[in-house]
Amino acid sequence: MAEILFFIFLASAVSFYVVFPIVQARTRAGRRVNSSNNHPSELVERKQTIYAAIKDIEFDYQMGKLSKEDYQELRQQYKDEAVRLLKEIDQKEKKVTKGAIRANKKDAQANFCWICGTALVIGEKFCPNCGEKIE
Amino acid sequence: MAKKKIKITFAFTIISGLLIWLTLSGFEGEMQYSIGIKEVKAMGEAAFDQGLRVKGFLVPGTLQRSQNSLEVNFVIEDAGQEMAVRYAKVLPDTFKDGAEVLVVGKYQREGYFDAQILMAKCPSKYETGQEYDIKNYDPSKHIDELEGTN
Amino acid sequence: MVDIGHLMLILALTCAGYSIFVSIYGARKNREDLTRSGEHALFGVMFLVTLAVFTLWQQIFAHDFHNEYVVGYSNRAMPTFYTVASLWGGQKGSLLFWGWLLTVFAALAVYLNRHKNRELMPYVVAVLMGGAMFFIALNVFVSQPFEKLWQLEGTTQVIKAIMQPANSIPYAAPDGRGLNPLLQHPAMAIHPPILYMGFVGFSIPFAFALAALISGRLDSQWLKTIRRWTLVPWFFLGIGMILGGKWAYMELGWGGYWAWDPVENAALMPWLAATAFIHSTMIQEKKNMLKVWNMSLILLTYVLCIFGTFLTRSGVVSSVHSFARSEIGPWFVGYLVLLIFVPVLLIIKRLPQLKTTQHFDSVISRESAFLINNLIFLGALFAVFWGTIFPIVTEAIRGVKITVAEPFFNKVTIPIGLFLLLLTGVGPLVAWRKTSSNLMKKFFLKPILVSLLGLTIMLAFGIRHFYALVSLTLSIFVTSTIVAEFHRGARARMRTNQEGYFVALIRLLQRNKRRYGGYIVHFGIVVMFVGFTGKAFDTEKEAHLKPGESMQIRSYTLTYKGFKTFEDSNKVVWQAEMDVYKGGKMVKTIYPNKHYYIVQEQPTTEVVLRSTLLEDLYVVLAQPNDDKSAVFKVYINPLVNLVWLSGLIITLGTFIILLPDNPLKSKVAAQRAKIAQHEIA
Repeated sequence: MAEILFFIFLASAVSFYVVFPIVQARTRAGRRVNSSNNHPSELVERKQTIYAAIKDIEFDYQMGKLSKEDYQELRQQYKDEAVRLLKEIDQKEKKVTKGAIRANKKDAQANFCWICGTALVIGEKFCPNCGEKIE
Repeated sequence: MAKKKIKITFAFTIISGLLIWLTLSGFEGEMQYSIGIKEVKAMGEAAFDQGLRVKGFLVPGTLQRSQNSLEVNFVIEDAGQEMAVRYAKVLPDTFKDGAEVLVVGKYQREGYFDAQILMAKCPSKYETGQEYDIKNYDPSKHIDELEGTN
Repeated sequence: MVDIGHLMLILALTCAGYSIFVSIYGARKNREDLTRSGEHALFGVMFLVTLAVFTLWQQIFAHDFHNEYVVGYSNRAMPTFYTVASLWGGQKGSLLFWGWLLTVFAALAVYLNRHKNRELMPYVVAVLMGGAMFFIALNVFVSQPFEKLWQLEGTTQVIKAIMQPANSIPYAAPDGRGLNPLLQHPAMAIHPPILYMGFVGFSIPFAFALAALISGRLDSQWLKTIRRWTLVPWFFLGIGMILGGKWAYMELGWGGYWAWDPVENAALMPWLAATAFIHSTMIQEKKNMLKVWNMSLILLTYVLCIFGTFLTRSGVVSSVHSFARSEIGPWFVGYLVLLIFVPVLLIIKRLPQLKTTQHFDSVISRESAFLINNLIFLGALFAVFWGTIFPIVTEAIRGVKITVAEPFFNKVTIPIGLFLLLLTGVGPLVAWRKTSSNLMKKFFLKPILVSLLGLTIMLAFGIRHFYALVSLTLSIFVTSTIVAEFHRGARARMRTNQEGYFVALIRLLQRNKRRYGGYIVHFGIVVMFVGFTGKAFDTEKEAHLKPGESMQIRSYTLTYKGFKTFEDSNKVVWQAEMDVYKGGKMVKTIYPNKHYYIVQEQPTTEVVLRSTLLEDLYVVLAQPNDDKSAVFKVYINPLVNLVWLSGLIITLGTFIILLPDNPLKSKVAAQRAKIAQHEIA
């Protein structure tokens, strides 16, 4: 008998816990899922891929795995792509972001952080993304 | 670009081909036929040069150990047919009278089965779904049995 | 009355069904209250199944022999440690245990993602609860761990049933039959849970992958989320296999640790698929390509986990360890069909979204090395898969079961394994995207020279075994490339950051946990291969000895002193005594045992070892005779300890990869970033 009572208690407790969010939403006008946030858009994601790629290229070059010519060629290639993407993202968002400033300032000497691949502005002492010291 | 793609596709096709060939050729000469005792006897000449897997039950009382080596001789039985087996490695711990035995090896012209691998399953001991008779269970009786066999 | 544990399972089943429904409905209608309710239901299921598990444990500990499962897998004489293991010692209990682990993993994954991936989570919850429903349903309908024993009135007949049958009275057995003594070994007590954690753990990446397919959120968010959730089960599966090997080695007494038994293959196959996935997922992260491939690999991994379970539980293939034949086979087939068809249809539906925009930079690059690696892993998987299901296929097609055993697997997998070993060395040397042939020469020259030197030394020592030579040479090659990688990385840091060598080495590991942790895992694999290679040099000998007689094996002399017999409540023990001499010097006295477990009527062989890193002397008391003479089987297994050691190295490497980024460090980094931004402004 005690077992049955315990079980009934258990079942009610679990049911209450399970329907609780619904009851709560009824009393405090239901919050809805905001589906636009926290997912990087396709472009941002491609940007991240390219940053990661630049990081790898830097690292492989530092370790002597890439010859200088290959390194410069590949880096230029990815830098161009990164700049193109940054501009594209800015256009899409219809506002000028820091990324674009950086991209516009970008010239022959523009650099990328060798740890995370973020675009750097000349004169920066630390990478704005990961905080790595810049020599 | 297209050239690169062709190169990569080509390399992958070759490697996949090699892998498949390796697997398929591996089967050759390593196949063991699972058949019953009756079929072994019916096979005649063909039985002698083929890897066979034969299942049966150890006939109680037929197990002969040798004092000075690991070699054992015993008879397995299935569907009324019997077959003598010789085995010369350490017996698995689950091997005992009435156990279901799977022997892998070759049938010899001398009329016995030369087992290279022996697997044994305890007779229903750990299996579920069996009829219960623990009513008459008596732990002490196994000690008698033990002394009897030793 | 019906056991409360059974009622809890029924409630959990209902709750899981509810969770699936509200999660999907809530996601479709975009109602957070419903999806939250679905998550609560998931926690509820976890709670209920946990209670059911503890109910069963309580009955096992209380020796409640009214419960049929408790009778079958425990008894009063068993030590407490193994009483805990009774929970997963039999079919029913282990399925309950499986379901429990699944709900615990699911709850953990959902809890950790409670603020993240909001669009994915309802579907993740639904998929996980689908899996939980399957296992709980098995426990409720087919394989019931809370079945009771009933005695029909007026007879001595005892039957088992969930509900009390008419005209019966409850029956409690005087004692249980106990856990199979072969399973009463420390490695065996923890091997199944660890292996299950591997199998079950893959449900989480599976659920995320499927959720991404259902919701159409196919960016790499899901892939990032499951990175650790893939590595952890991969690790458990690997360690579970090593522990299983250790158990077989110590307990089964045939001197080996791996026999290509279907049960072993069942764990190996998902491990191979997962290893391929772990590698190829890096290409998607770096290059945003191979989306369909990665998706398929992780789905395949989970399907193989379930397939392996089906294979070993349904008795379709004969195996040393297989559980009883049971009626769960058809259920598993149904579940498998569902697991294959739904993802395949979803992938086809989402194909346009999964198209790749990126391309390869060069034919000789790390990417293509990874792809070849994937191909080889799948090749190994293909071979093991065919070898395992060959009897089923041939029986279906030709009507006769044809089995392939150890020789087949060795013949096929040794070359594949050696090729993978080679890739382990070559891959890291090749740069991402592009490698010029000049640099290739530079990088390969030293490792090749070192391995050739090693080869010459081995030849000089008279080693002529072909595979052993290849394997050891490759091992030297891979090890030297790994050492060189660490060295080069440290040097690069020294140059750019003005750090000392050791600081640079540690920073290197800290900053590139995945890459360098991965190298440590690779090194573990190398050590394991060296251990496998020892198999080429093993030897065995059998001897019948009277007390006082000796036997010779390689450089060992073993002198048999006789045996004694004694018994305790659980078993009868024959204990032999032997002095081991090596090169004329006595090194150890060993006591090989044979036990006879009384209740289970089963002998077990207790092996003894004289173990060094280089080789194991492995002695089995095969047969004690009445005249005090005995037959011994002695093995020398060189390098076998490296296999166990490799488990530790792999653990270390995985641990480093899994380490979270130092929170303090990232705080400092964030502050620096702030300062840097101020400076721009």
